[in-house]
Amino acid sequence: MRINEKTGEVTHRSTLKKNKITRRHRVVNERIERTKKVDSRFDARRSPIKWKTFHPRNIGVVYLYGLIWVVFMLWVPDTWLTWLTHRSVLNQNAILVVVAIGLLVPLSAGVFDLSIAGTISASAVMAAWGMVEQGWSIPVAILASLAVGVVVGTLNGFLVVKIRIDSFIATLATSSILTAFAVWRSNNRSILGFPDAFKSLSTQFAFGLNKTVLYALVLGFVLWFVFEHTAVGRYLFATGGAREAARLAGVQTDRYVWGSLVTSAVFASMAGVLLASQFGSTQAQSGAPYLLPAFAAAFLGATQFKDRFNVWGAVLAVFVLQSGVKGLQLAGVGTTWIESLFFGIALLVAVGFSSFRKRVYGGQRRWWRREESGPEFFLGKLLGWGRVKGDQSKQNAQEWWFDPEDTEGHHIKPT
Amino acid sequence: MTTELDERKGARSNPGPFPVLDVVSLSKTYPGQVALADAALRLMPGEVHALVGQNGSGKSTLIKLLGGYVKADHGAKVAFGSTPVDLWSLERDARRRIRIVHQDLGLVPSLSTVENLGLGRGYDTDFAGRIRWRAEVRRAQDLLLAFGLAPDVRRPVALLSAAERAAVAIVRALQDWDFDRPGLLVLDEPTASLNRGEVDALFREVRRIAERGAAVLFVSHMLDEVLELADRVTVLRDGRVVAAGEAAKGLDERRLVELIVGRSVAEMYPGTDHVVGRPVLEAEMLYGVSLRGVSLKVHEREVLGVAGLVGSGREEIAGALFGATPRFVGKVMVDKHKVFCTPRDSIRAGVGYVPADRKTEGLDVQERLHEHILLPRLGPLRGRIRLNHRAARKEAAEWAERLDVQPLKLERKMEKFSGGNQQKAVLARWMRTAPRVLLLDEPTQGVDVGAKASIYRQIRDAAAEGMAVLVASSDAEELVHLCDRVLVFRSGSVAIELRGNTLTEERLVAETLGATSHRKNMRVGREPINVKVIRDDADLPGEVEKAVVDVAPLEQHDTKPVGRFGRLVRSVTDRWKTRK
Repeated sequence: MRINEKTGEVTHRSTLKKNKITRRHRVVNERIERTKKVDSRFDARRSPIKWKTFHPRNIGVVYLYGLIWVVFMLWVPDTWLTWLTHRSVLNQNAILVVVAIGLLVPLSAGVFDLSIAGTISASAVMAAWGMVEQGWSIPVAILASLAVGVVVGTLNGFLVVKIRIDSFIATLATSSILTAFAVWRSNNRSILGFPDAFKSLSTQFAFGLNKTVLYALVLGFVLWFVFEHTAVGRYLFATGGAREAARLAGVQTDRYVWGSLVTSAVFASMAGVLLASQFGSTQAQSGAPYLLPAFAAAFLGATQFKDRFNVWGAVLAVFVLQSGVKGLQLAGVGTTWIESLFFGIALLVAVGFSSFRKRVYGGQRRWWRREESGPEFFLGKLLGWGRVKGDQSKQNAQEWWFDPEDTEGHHIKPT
Repeated sequence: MTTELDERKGARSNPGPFPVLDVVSLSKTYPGQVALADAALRLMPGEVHALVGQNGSGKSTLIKLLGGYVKADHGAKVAFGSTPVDLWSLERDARRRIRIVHQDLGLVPSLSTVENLGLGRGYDTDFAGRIRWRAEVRRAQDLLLAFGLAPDVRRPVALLSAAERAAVAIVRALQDWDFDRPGLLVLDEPTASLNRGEVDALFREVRRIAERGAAVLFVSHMLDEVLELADRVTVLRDGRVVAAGEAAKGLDERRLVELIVGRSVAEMYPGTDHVVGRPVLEAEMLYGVSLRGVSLKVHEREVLGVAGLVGSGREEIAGALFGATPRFVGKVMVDKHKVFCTPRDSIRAGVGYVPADRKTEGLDVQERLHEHILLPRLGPLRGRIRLNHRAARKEAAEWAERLDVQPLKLERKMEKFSGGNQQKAVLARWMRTAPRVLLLDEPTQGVDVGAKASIYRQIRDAAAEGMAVLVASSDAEELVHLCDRVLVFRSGSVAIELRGNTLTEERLVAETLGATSHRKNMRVGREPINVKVIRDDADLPGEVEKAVVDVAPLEQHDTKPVGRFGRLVRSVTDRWKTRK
């Protein structure tokens, strides 16, 4: 029995016992508290499935792939439903994937690298020229062509970081210089006759897949790890997002920009080596067709899965777009322009899907967003419903202002 | 209602001239904050009307409303000439009669003076549509000559001096002025970058315009200039008019300062009584773009304020101490160790910096909340090979919760948070690095009242735990109540230190505005200043060996060479100076 001294209230022992908080209660309560906290405030252990993930806005390319699959399954079932078709898409585009994911690095650091096509050609020609005309051994030739990438990347970085030329212009210029180098070294002719050991760099290894696919996957995995799971990735994205803010947060932005350009050039020269090995011949312009698809894949990939450049988005973008092209080839549409048309339309649709309805925070006032131009305004005008806001304030001013007796219109401020 | 009507009848019996602009009631409310409450302003023709008030008192809001850049609250009562108008949807013709020279001038730096003058107005063309460049150039030169200036009008505006740029902006606003109909010229701090001679020329021109029947609204912090030029003065405080159109003759600077300041202390400021420790951050003889030999010390458990007008070095000091902007001369020490002029080195030494320009320097709008908070110090979160995401998110959540970021969603992009919560997140980022010194530049700019109080509390708590805090702010009230000491900057150096009893709002504003008297005495081609530079290797703070260095006099516009050859020399030297 307990007596409250102030109020004189009496609580009996049985009630006390009933309301006593035991250790078991405490444990349960704590557990409830903990789950509450996790659910409401901390995201750290949230349930993994979010339905937003499957929205076409987030994974539009996957839906596009489904559509492609359905269309060609009905259109050309004999050829579309074979492993040969799909593995050839993979084999033919592994090199493009290497170029595209290399390009992601400078793009996420906020600079462009247009010299990748030139680097591919130059390093392919370098390897070919070294092996065929100079008689270098294979490792030396490969190292020499990778060295081309390092030199090009360093030069780009120097121009962008130290001389402060806009990256678009600087890399455009180096691209042109590299083309000159490639034409000079190859005498503008195809270089043939590589040793077989070099060609075996890109032969099949399993399931009819080339080794290039393996290389692309490994490189993709490495880059994905760097982007998503290391501090370097965070710093890269910070540099690309707002260079000055990142610098003030202690990120050495110049180094990351420079390093990203070197990385993309090295990736491009790896692609150059694989290109030479896969085709067995090299010419000065061999890298040119990779430039625009690589950029397309990088930017399309950036709209998938996350709102920023990411490896698997780019990889998937390459695969899906090229699958569509392959399907059209199989269907024997015959005309050569249909592939480019498909590529362009698919790119527009996929990117458009993800950016069309994206709300601009504090966005500008456009004529189609104003309430005066909404449908209810026009309907209201037609049917004479109510009055629109703008009119109202004018009406108010008039009402307040004009005194009908005041013919001269003089007015005075009320105190 | 009857009284209003009576008054109007009374007015009709004695009709004076029409006001050019008669603002009877104008309010503007931003979410969470009243920027302008029921403002009244009557501008008569031929009158120069000054608008003064502290930062954040609603001056710029009023100008924005006049320019039609923002929409007033419902029920605004404004007359332009003889007709009531809605400033938001003004007719083109009336809009052309309100000319505004903004503080940032609004010139396109890469275009020449001639091209800038033609931007709003169009060019004089011949039958083929070719611009008559020679006539345009002559016209531009004539217009600028009225200001006693003869810059090369074909050079990009970026290469002109600050005074020349200001003159170009004013000339652009004044060209094609129609004196037959009522017009309004608004000058928003036009004299901030001018020297005395140019100010005189500007005032002459303004007077000339006013005499021909236009109304001029003159916004300035320089109270002596206000009293010199203006016929009437309107004072704004906290978005309200405290003195409506008082005759400037009956006012002096003292009275004006009283009107500008003087308000009750809000309850939002926590107390400031505690013991201050030993110095943590020491700066000696800092020279920067606008800094002219600043020495200061920030102690443990102290909040040091920095006040000053625009261009006094107040905006630059925090960035210069952190290494965000270059320091030409001088050194900064944290705990007696010298710190290099890079953000990275400063962070390592235990300095945090919250920049004034949140959108471009403080944060990346595209990054997520947790990424933002963790960026400056990812080291401790590294696992053996990869970042420990779980620990990282937990830590980010803890800091966001501690700084009370609302809503606490770690995956939310920074752009979606309100200004106050963005600022809290920026603060959380720097608090997490456990700095010895925290440098805050305009910590409550664009922040709503609730968030403000929370930020102040955080700053005081951090100081109480032993951090040294420097707050550079243009808000006098904030400085007085938040800081233990306030340094007032004038023309790039510390003019005076206020603390204890001397630290009052009136005194602070008066000292800040004291720059006016300084400019009056400024002469062209002044003598070399002797600057004492303390050698780096000197043993501090004991006996200090001092070397005296002569620093060349500051470049004055009037002393520049003129004539054709002089122009050539100038174009070369200017290019050299503006070279990046």
